[in-house]
Amino acid sequence: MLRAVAAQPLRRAASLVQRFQSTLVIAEHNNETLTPITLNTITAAKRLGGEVSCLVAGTSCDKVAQEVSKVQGVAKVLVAQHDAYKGFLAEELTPLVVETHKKYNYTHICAGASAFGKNLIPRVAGKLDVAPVSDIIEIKSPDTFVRTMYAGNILCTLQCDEAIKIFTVRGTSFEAAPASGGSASLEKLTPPPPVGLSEWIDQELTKSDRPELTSAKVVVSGGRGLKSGENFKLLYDLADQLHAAVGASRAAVDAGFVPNDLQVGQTGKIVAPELYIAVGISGAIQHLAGMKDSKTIVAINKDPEAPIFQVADFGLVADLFQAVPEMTELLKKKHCGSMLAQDCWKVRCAPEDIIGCSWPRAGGMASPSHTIRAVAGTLPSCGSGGPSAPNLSSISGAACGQSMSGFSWNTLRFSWFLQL
Amino acid sequence: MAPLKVLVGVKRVIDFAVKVRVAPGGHVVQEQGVKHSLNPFCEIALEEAVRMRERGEAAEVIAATVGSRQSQDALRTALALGADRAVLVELPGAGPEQGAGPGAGPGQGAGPPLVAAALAKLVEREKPQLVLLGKQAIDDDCNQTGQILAAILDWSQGTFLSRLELDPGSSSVRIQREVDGGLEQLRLQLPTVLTADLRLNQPRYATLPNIMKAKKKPLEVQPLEQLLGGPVPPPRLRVLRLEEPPVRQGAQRVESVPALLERLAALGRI
Repeated sequence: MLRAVAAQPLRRAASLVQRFQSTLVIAEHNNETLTPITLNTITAAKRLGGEVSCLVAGTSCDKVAQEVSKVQGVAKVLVAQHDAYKGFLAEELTPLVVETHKKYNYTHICAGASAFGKNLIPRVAGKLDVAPVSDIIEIKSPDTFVRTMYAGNILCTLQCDEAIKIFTVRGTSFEAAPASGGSASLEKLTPPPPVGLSEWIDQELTKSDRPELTSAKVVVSGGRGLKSGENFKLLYDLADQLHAAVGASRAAVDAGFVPNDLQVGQTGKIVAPELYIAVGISGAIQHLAGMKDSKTIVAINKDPEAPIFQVADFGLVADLFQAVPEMTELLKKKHCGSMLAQDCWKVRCAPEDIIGCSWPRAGGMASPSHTIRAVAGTLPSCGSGGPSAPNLSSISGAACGQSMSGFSWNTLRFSWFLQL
Repeated sequence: MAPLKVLVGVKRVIDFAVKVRVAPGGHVVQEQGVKHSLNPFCEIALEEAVRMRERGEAAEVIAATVGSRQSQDALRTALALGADRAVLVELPGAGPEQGAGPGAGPGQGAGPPLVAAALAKLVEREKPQLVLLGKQAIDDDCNQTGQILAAILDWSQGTFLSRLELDPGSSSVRIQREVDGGLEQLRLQLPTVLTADLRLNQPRYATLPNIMKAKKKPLEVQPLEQLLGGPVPPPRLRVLRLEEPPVRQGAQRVESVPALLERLAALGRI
């Protein structure tokens, strides 16, 4: 109400307008669940400082609308259910967004920079005669944004002087908003009449039990070096041990090793996981654009000159056909994997597990002693809160299954490990 | 169905293999003496149009660009790759090395809304049934022009196209799009705006005879004001600063897989 009365005079005074900011986030979903990038977009919308509304449009919205209404920071959920929204066609959704904007006069309209958002948002901007801003990675102020250009090689800070700011949000640049704790009001919208310019026929989605690529904490990606689609199984096996998603370079996709929707890069998906393992990927500019914001990057490549080593934190110059199975095996021995993890001593490592260990001794494997040195190196950080880390000489005499006296749990477990 | 008239929008951009640098002043990128070429996605869009003509589905393929005089290079390439004629919509006041930039600042080219507005005027004049564009330019990475153009024209849109089939006897096309989870199929009413993804086709190389022939093909130059029928609107996004992102430290070499796992464990990554 207040906005409707006050909008005109206030528009001239930027500082006052700021207090009356209102943002419309267009929710992406599949009529069943909300797509995770919407949560990142809501965080970006909250950063603008005003009220955040969410538009849920689809053929079946009840479940998703409920889900969105519980997201922290959402004040209002607008629901538009109609058969015309089958396939979430931009031609049908655009009039709805425009109508909704006319009704509520938003200062900002945004969606995640996914295939859905990239398809829809510029059309909405075109209809409202506004210059949209794509794939923002930072919000400096309600009218100043940062985005990347030239495959992520240039950061551009730009100011948008439009009355309505319309933009897409890079999901990996904003945290996901908490999916609970909110209590937004729900409001039904009357959908405008169907446009009928286009029709959704069907889809073929890649089915996978692994985490979704753009939101996975760990991503294992393969390139041309994998040589065939069958060899990608090596990466799937490794990914399973790490609960990782599998990605690919354009070369691997073009060669038909994996489907297109796994492509990471400037024109594929942008990922920023905690750990990105690039296997047999040279590291072309276009690929780096999609992954160089990952927290830790590991490169496994037999070419020591490969550009991927320039962005990687850890580089292993090795034949992937040996290194990847070795890595999988090491991680597979459950306790070995746990031992390497920081909190292993307290949580996941039971002695019985350790007794059951057998070291893989296939050709090309590192020696157990090497591994033990490696593990010893991690001990100080593992034993936080417990006894101080043992050194190798003090425990080397310990035998498997012997009395526990004189040893801390850490020492004991470590001694078992040494015996194997 | 009679063969279609197809308009293909192309853009001259800094070559995909060039490492781009910010020019002193921090408002534009260094373009002087840098290799430029046709935006890869535009090549794919053009290739699709040329194949349509070769199959008898398209009657004429017009390549158009909005940019500086320099963008004639891109149009000559398009002609050598099989376009029948070309239109350069010339940006006013664009310097010798400008017009292909990110489109959001002084002297940096038109930007998607203005390019879409110019293309819409061209569509009005040429009356194509199909407009093919690339899904994004590799310089500004906007991924907007096709969608804005479809909005202005009130046409259907098919973005991230990986397959195109004309429905014989009807006034629609059947397309396959690349979406996040896989692929989807749509039917779009003609006229329509389509934007090409990488997987649509494998563009051909221009042969020397075709490059020679392209020099004789018609290339019209039209000032942007003339096409718009009024003054060119100022850019609506202002570039405050361009900068290069922080450089990552190079890799620490690890000697073996266990050593690698150790380092990752120490960081808490596994």
